[in-house]
Amino acid sequence: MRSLPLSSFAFDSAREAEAHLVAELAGGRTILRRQHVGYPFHITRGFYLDRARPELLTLYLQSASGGLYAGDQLTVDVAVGSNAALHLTTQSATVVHDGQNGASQQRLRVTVGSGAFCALSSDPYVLFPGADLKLDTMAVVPDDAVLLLVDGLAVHDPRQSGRSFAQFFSRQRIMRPDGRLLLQDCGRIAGDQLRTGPLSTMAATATALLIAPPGRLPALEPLMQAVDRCGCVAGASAAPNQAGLVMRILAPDGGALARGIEAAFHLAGSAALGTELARRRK
Amino acid sequence: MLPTLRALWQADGAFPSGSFAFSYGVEGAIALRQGMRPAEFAQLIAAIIRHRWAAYDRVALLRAFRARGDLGEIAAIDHEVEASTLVEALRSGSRRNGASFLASHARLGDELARALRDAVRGGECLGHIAVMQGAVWSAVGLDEKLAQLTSGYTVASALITAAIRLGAIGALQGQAVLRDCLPLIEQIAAEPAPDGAELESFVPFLDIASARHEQADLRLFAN
Repeated sequence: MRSLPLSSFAFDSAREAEAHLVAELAGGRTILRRQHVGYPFHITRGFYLDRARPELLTLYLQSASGGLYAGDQLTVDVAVGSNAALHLTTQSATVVHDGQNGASQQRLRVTVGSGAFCALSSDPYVLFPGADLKLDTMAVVPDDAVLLLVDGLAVHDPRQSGRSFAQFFSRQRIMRPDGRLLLQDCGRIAGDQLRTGPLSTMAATATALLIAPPGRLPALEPLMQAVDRCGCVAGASAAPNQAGLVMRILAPDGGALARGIEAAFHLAGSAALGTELARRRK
Repeated sequence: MLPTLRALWQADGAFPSGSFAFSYGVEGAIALRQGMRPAEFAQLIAAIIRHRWAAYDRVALLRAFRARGDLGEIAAIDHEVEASTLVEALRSGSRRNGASFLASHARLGDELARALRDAVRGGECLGHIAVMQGAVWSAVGLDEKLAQLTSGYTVASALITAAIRLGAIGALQGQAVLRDCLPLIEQIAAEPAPDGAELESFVPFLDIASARHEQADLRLFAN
């Protein structure tokens, strides 16, 4: 997961920090049973936004330090218990500052229980000139649970320096509890390669992985159309090993990409939970 | 010289590898970005070589090559390629292409190709083209360098042939693009690929084009 930048805080770097969240179903609601959230992470109180699914807990994960800096090594560990329902998101994009020859690393570990719903959808990382970001995600999902994972990137050069980000690297592995590999997605790109074809004429991109049983997936065509209507170009397909579906998204900028991600979350959530989900205010 | 001649034999478009039926996403890309100029098309082909073939197909090929006919190891690589190929059209196309490639070599009497074909029929292997090429070319007598060059050339050639057949570029323009890809393929083939290298790919535009192509009513190519 990524974190909310607060520009009033001073430059900080090379931090090692962890956030551990355990969500469980209790008394008809998903509650945060345990949490350990070290600086710079900050977690909001829980919100119950969906009347038709009162068990669905929504949390906003933030950072109190202005984004990701050179040498940062941050880990987020999320466990969602059996039949619980969690949506973990952010309130805005996460700025990734100049790596200065030291990558910013963010690890995400997710364990989803039987029958549970877990959505980790957040706004894109915004790569500043020199940013060097490494994302490493590992998730374990049983065959009757739902996991939505979305990672995206956009670029921004606030001082118009003409420099691009250094590198973006992402690795995502989704496993079954018995250790069987369902799906993996690994890729990297250097900033000076962004405009040389992989994104065509676009400047922002995201990948959504929806791991779910067949009856809890949205139809591909309406999903792509909904994301396209946000100014993006989307391509969705059946995932390997009958894991669910995957979708790549391209957008002209981070704003359009964030809207596309939001649209994807709502369609995926609606198909998985059988009801329209309320708008998440940001 | 014989390994070089065998590499030429495998790279030859006349070899019945089944690749003529697959566009590797190019048909979808041309449909998604209509009016692509030759320079833009050349950029797309280079991006596919650099961001897909170099660290994905090439790595799968080399790992299978280094398996030296060990069916269990080849099957593990094959399943990893399956899990890592996110778009269904590219996944099924790769398997079908691999099946055709194996069928030709099996009918030519290659023992490893026969064993792999049986493993695909039995469900132990899936038959992804890069994995099957790596395994069979090791047995056919290519060295690692030639196997990489042959793989890179066949991918670039297939992409361009598909674009020519789709009328996106002219035949001579296509040959110019192919010629300009050759130094890039040579450069990438010279880069080390350690045994533990991961399968990496980053061409979102191609994935999107391929996924949308799956839904298209009218298609000339299988992917």
